[in-house]
Amino acid sequence: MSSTLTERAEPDGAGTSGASGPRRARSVQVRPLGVVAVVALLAVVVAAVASASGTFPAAWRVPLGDGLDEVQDWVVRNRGSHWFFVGVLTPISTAIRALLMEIDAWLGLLGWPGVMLLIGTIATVVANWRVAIVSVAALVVIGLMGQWDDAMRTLALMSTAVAVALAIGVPLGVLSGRRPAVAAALRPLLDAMQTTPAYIYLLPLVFLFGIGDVPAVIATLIYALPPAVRLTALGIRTVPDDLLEVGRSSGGTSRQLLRTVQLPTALPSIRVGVNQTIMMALAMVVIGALIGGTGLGLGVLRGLQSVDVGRSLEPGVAIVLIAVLLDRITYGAGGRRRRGPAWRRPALVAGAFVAGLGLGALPFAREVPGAGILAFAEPVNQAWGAAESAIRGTTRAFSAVLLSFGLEPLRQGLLLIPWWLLILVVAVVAWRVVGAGVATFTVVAFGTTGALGLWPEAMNTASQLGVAAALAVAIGLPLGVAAGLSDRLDRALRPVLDTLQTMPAFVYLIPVVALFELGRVPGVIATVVYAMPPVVRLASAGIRAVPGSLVEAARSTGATRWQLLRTLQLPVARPQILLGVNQTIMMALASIVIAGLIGAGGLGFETVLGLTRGEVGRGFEAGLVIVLLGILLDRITQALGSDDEATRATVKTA
Amino acid sequence: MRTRSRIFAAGASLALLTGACASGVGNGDGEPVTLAANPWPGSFANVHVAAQVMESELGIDVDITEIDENAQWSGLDGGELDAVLEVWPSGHGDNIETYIDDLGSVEDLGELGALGQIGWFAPSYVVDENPDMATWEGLEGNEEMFATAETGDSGRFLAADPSFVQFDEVIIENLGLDFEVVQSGSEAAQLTEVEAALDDGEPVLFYFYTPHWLHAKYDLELVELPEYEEGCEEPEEERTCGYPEDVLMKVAAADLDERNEEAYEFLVNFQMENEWQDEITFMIDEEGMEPDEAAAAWIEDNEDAWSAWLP
Repeated sequence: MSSTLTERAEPDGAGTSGASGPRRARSVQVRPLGVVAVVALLAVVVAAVASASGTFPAAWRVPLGDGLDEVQDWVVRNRGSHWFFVGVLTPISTAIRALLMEIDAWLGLLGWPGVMLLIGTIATVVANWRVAIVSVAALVVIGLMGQWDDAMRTLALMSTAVAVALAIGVPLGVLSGRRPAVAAALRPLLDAMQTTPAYIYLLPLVFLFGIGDVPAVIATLIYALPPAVRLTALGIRTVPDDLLEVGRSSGGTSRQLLRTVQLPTALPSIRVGVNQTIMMALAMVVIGALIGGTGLGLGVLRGLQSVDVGRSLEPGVAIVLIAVLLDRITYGAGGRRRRGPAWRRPALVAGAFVAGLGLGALPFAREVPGAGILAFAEPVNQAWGAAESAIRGTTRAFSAVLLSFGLEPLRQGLLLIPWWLLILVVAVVAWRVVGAGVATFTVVAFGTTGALGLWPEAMNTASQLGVAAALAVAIGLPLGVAAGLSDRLDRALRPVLDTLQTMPAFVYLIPVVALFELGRVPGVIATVVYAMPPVVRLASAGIRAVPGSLVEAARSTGATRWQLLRTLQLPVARPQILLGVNQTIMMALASIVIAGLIGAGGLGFETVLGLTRGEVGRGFEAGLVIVLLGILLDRITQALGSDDEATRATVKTA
Repeated sequence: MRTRSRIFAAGASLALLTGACASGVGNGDGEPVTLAANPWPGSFANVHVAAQVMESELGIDVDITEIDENAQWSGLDGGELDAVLEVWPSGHGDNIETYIDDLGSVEDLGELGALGQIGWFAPSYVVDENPDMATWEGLEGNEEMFATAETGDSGRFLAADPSFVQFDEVIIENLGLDFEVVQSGSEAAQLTEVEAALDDGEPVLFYFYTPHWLHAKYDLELVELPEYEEGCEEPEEERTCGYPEDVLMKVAAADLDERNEEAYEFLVNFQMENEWQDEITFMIDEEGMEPDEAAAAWIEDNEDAWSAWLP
């Protein structure tokens, strides 16, 4: 459930995609890995012959979940007395609670005028006055919608999670940037943190940290930490060697080198990391409310639970506004060099803080005047009611078509193919596209799926994922290309894409069910909505990046617009577009659980059971399959977008 | 509805230290009490009525935490929650065994006073048109009228929120009915789908329960299943009988009586009959009142009822 508000095509596609870091030098490793892959493929064939069956043999079921249920039971019985809980987890919990209370109290002391002054000043100082105006305007709207108190609670939760994420993530990123061994060890862990659906660790977090805002902060932390580590490491790694040499030859110690050369050079990348961490944290606002977190997320959840679209849209819009505000401020940070002494900026912020406290002490500072005059739940509900009954017939007919000609045949087809054949086919494709390592991983991932007894669920999910990703690309790609060619369209789309990426999916669950009939289709639609923005953004950016001189040259040869697009712009933009496709697929994967909440069944539903029915083991099994599937899809689609000419040639011929 | 949560209270007391104005916390004798509100209207009704009476009559500060009904057991055990006023025992056998019987960290506070009934429901217009459908035997052979795009030729049986324990798949199979169970994933999704069908006057068969505000808005009929008798659910894979009546219960943290005896006694006495709950949830869901306003309106009119709960 990530939302990268403004897609920045980082060299390693940091952000939603689980994979980053330098690509491996494949040629060196082919031999030993090739042997392993051949052995793995042979094992599949032998297993197929041994089982002589098209469906994955039930006898090979591995009861992983049962073991976890036992661990859970032990935790429940011992958490009051065991040293680990009393001596380690309780202090962590207490520290987080203290930090949260501190931030909450200061926000309270500032009151609405103080918060606006402080945020406006920060925006002016780190970005520019335009961003400051946008930020303050967003805050005013939040206040007038009557969402101020909840928004401040959300801001406090977010600040706590982000502060802890940076305190852990930046040092870890520095370490991982300087020591490849650390980076290699961290990579699978970070991948897992970003692809594991939160639903499977929510209940365990409750057992470890109780219910309320503290476990909500920790859930947020798990999801938001990876970009801080990854982008810091990336920044450190990309410091040019000659710069390091200069530092070294002038006798700098390792620590001096870090302080004077590596960190300053890595700063822009670290800033992007901060921005992404904040965006990820915002994506967890509603999830946190499932285990007792408060603020805007709880508002969205309340609206959902009482089947009230307008009521969940209000806090949803407030979340979008906060996201836009924080994104613009952090993205603008460091955008240009500033004149004046170094102490000026901190001094201005400190001054605004003190002045803000003064404003906060004024009698009218507690409640925003006119709070609620922009509340729109009622009119939205009326409009929605009318629109819904007017178009439901059409949308449900569309739904039936998508089911009988897309989803159901695809699912049936996937189930018809013998399991071993499917594994072989995917493994061979993975081998050709990426390499022997990923082919081996394919066998392991699919074998695990079968052994956990989740083969039918995985096929159901795969069919939904395929249809959703295809639709998202089919709509998003032309839209992105068109936006790349037209500045007006691009400007018009920007706020729409920002909204789609930051609006919690929980807000539109009711509308999609009402329109498309509970089942697989509303899940697919929600997924398309959620996953489309990256491909639009990156296609547009890719087309834009084609050098103007090239376009001019081609135009002067008399090429038509269409020829121009087909022969020049699309091929040049190809890597960016494929990165967009990769990101869209990864986001579609992240929305599997959301689909599970509205009747899509499959792995998403199994994962939801992990929290709602307390079946932690079962949820974990489904979550593990989602993670494996995610890493596999990411590796394959990233290889498709790779700059590596050889790989591209392979793909073209394949 | 915005009862001050703990963190805000703490923040406010810090604000007090630094000179801004804020209200103090705690004017009752015992500690503040935290009640769990689960995500359905009945639970909100209970909790807001109890909170308001405790605050105004006993001077006890009450916090309300909105939480999932599975996570709440861990909250009672860990000390973040003090009481839950509406537990449906049929879905919590494991939790009752672990936390009440084995660990002893949660205490049974007795019956709530309301009765719950889980079962299969269909719109009255379906049963009126085809009176046989009042029982499961009438469904046999008529499954196709409940078919949708998602289920093809089989009828659709719409399952409940996954947090409820459901046996419909087994019952359907053992009764030899041609229904496909569609998991709804959440109560919000199920209600949306059911309301869409009801608004269009289409047939729909689904797992549901009383008390619930949906019954105040639409006429629904409970489809009779083979009657539940003690032991008929064993063995599970051969079960054909329907759901037992749920005697809703209240539970509290086992040490609540030591920490706040007054609150403990009040909660033991607290009762909420089906009829009262329906009245309150109707005000919330159909008249658009906030839960605290609806609770206040009910308290205003029913002093006889709540005065009996005071210790």
